[in-house]
This record gives sequence, C-alpha cells and structure tokens, in this order.
Amino acid sequence: MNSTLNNFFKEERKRVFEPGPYFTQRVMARLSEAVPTIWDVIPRAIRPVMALSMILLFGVLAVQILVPVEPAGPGPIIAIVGQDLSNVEYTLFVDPTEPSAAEFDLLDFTP
Amino acid sequence: MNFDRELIVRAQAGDKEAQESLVKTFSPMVFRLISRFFRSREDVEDLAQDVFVKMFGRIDQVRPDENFPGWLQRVAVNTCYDELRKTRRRRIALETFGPREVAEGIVQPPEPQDFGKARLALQALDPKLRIPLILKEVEEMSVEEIARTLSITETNVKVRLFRARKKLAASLGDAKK
Repeated sequence: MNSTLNNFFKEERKRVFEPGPYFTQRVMARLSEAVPTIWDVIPRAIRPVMALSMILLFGVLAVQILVPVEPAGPGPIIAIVGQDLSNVEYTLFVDPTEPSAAEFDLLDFTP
Repeated sequence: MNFDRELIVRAQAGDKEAQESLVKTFSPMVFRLISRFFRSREDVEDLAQDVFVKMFGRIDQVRPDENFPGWLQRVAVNTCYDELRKTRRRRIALETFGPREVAEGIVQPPEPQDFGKARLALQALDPKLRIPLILKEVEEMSVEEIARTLSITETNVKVRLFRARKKLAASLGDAKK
C-alpha cells in the first residue's frame, strides 16, 4: 500500500469520538421509552413455534375466507321458500342433483 | 477487557444499575468503533445509542461466559454496515465536505489534499469491502478477529481486503492522473 494511504490510516487512528457526559442517561431514557411489542413479551425460545403456528392459522383463515364453501344442502331460505314451489320449479331451481334425461322428459312444464 | 460478568446476568434480569454500568463500561469501545466509519459526532452518538438499544434487546441471547465485548463489537459493526448501506451515496458527498461540522462550529484541522483523495476513494468503496479494510488498517484487528466480527470466513476476509486495496489503489492512481 502506498505511503499516502498508510499516513491516512495513521491519521484515522487518532480520530476518535468519546461519549459525552449524558450519553448513558440518553441510552437509559431511550430504553425506558421503548414500548414492548408482543414479540418482546413472548420468550425467545417460543417465538419460532409461535410464528409457525400463526402462519398456519392465518393460512387456514385465508383459505376459508377466499375459497367459498359450497353448502351441502339447501340453505334456510330455500328450505322455507321451497315449500311453495311446484315439483318442476323445485327440480329446476333448488334440487342440487341434476335430473336424468328420462326424469326431465317426465316433467310437466305446462303452467 | 476486564469487567464484571455478573453485570450481564443482572442486566438480563432487568437491573437498571447493571444496564447503566454496561453502557458506561462499553460506550468508549462502541464510540471508537463507530468513529472509524462516520465523521460526524451526531451520527456516531445516534448509532452508539442504536447499538446499546439493540444490545439490551438481545441481551438474553448472551451467556455470561461468552466473549461479550466481541459480541458487542459484532452488533456495532453490523449497525454501521446497515447504516452505510442505507446512506452510502448521499453520505459520500456529505461526509467528505462535512457541512454539518462547519455548521456546528466543530472545525477540524485542515488535512493534506492527498488525505482528502484517500478519504473519497475509501468512501466510494462498497461497505462490504470498506468495513474489513478499516477494521484491519485503522482498528488494527487481525484477519481472524475481523472474520469473527463480520461472521465470515478468514478466506473471505482476505479476498475482501485484497479487492478493497486493489480498488483503492486504482482510484488513487486515477486521481493522480
């Protein structure tokens, strides 16, 4: 390395800041101001398990929210309204099973 | 470095006096280390505070029989690295011409022109190369110590030192032309 750099580094060794008289108090004040988050309350050893379980929980919740669940049977409204429907209307609008061609032909569509 | 290891145990238990003693004991070391990378007193003090806040945030990871000063040095260097990376481009100009120092009335003795060029070249280096070089040349750490502080292999330190010196020599060579 050239002499300029060596001299420069030598000078740099002399350039040091010392802590001021109130530095410790400032640090302690900052420490007491710090608001503990939920992660500070949870012991460090439990954090990875906690994080993993939260990811899984949010994952399941996200799937449940984003992917609509198809109802297994008729809902409460259809159950009530369905009582007033004719056989044909019930087959066409409510019955979740698709009628076979033979069943369809048997339906009477006359009003 | 001599200090009462009992202080760490007490600080871990939340004893304020022990925490204060730790800050008092280690603040000169932290200040000296940060001074190697930053030229403004304000920056050095702010970063030193950050280092101690981080230190107390992670103090339960420390075992009293471990090399506590070494661990703290690592926290300080990592804090400097993050800061240098964040503000690298902006600071090249600010630190070189030192407007804050002039504004605060902290007048430093004028330095030879060559030193200014060397400082510019050093500040233009990527923090990945600049930090090991400063630790080696200014802080006079061994390659082994630098490797431990930066959590990298000794070979990696040597490679970074070689690249840093090469780049620095190239920049200074260009500056002379």
